[in-house]
Amino acid sequence: MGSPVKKIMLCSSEKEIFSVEEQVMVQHSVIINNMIEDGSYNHEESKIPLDCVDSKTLKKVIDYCTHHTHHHNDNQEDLEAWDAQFLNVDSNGLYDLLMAANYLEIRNLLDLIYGTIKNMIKGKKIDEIRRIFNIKDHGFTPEEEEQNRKEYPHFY
Amino acid sequence: MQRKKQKEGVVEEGGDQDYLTALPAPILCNILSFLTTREAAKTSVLSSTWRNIWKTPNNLVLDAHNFLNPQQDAITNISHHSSATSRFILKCDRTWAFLNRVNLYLLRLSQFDPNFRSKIERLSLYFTFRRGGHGCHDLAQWIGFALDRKVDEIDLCFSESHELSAPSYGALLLFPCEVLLNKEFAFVNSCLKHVRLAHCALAPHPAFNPGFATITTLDLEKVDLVGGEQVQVLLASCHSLEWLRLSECHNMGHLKIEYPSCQKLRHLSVNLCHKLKALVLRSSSLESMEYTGTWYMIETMFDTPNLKSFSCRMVLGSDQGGEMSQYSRLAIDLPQLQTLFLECYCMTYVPVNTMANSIVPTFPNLRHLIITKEAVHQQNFCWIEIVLKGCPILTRLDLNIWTHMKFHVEFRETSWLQACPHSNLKEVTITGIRGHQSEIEIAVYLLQNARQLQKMIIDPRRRVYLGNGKWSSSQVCQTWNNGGRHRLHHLLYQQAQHLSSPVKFFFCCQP
Repeated sequence: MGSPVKKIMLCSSEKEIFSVEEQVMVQHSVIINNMIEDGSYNHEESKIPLDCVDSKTLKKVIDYCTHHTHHHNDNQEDLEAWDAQFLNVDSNGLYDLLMAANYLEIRNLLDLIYGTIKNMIKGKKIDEIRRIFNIKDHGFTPEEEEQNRKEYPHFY
Repeated sequence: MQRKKQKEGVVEEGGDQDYLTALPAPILCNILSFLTTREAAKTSVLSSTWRNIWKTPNNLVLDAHNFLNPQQDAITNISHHSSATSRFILKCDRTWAFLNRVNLYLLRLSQFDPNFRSKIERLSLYFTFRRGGHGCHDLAQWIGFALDRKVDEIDLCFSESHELSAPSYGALLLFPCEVLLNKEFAFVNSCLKHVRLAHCALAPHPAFNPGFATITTLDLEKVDLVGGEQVQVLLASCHSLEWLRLSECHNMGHLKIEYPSCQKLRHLSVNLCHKLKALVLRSSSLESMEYTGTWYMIETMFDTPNLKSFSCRMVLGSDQGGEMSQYSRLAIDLPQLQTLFLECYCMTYVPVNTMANSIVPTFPNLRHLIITKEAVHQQNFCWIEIVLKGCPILTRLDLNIWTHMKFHVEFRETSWLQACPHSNLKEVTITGIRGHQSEIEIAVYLLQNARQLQKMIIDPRRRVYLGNGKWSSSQVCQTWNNGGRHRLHHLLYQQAQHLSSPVKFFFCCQP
């Protein structure tokens, strides 16, 4: 283990550059794994441009991957507690994370976010879900909305 | 896909825009795949963007929980009815309701997407179906529905919990194999890769089963392979099969895997197939195998040069010469093994002097040996000497032990085991240790004989194999905390002082 830890450069939409252990990203992101494997990433020169991920979100994504790489042997409860704390963000933050995880194909982060969104819908009434997701304009005509409320009163 | 438990309400409300509704449709579909069908359908009235999302699901989950209301869902409600007639009527009603709702649901989906543009990844079904009972025709259509939408994986279990008694063998649903090739040449484009079937009978066509050709993973549980020969017919059709598990397939008497069938098979599991008499494996692709059952009663024929990993959980009778004779038999059959997991029930005591004269079974390539051993009063480890002698390049030894009774005896050095220096063993893990004298003896013996030992891990939690590479750990027992740990700790460090090379000790679950 003489050689230093290999790093890769990630560039956010604000052109801010983040240096991350290669292993961390390769393990979690399918996209980055593919880039490293097929040799399209050059360690000397290139950085990976992530035009649709802002710095704040990218930093969080890197935090997630780093934690899960170095702590994957921790017991399940500790990891879950960490995850819960990690996702303690507002719905915009959640949206940004979801888009970033989707773009980078980070499966376990995606599952985590989907699970969280699931819990925001599960067992709740429509009005409550609309409030949580901040859905102000539901896009139905008043007639359609009335029809729905009549047809599925138990949903509301 | 592992679904993690979430604490509810961790996400703060806030933000000023409706971002989540703006998500692309494929992502919304993924979110809905985490919800039950009921909950997913609810989102159709959430907003106009969500209106049709539920109609292109990634996964079809057809079970009572998703399609019946809670009163009908609860099977217990049915078994409480005393009269057989009323139970029968209720069961029929329940089945009818289920069939109707699933049919209606699938009709909605196909009306929305008549040209099969959306793909279904997984079809899972969990509902009781019986041979000649209601719904066999519907079932074939449901499978066809998923196949039309290029399903990757189907998981069908035709019996619900034991409260609705599982159908007896004659009443098992005959799996509609023909559905896999119902449409003319549909199988050419089939994406079906993973198939799990439970509680049904399987009778593939004797000559022509192209529907099975794309399958890479096949898992059969409590499947009646009608007439016993069906398994050969089936395997001859599975050209792409890489992973095969047969659990409790009671009608299977022989299992032969040889040219030309299953040329790509890499993993085989055979669990609790009680009628199995002969196992013939001639395969150069096979790499790992698992077996659970009465190994000593089976005739085996191995020609598997690449089989490097074997997990064998065997039940022994009292007159089969004990675990040692089975261990010898494995050494003769499979000398190429690199990893061996051995678990024996009902082990008999083999006197030391009888072993001294017999030939030592040898695994010249074995690197990792895992042994699970249960004992009532005390552990009997006289075979460890044979293991050390017979496995010259062993580097890792895991002992999962469990002693049922509390039994306190003062520690004494083992005099009945011969010293057997071993120069490759580097790592020893002992789990389930309670601090008994016989358990400490083994740890000390290994410490004295493994000259290159670097690491010894002591874990008081009992480790139990769940199958398919998964383990579970139990709680720490009281005996360990009441002095067992202290005693072992003390004796090991005492021994370690006399060693030439340093050994690192790891004690798990420190108070």
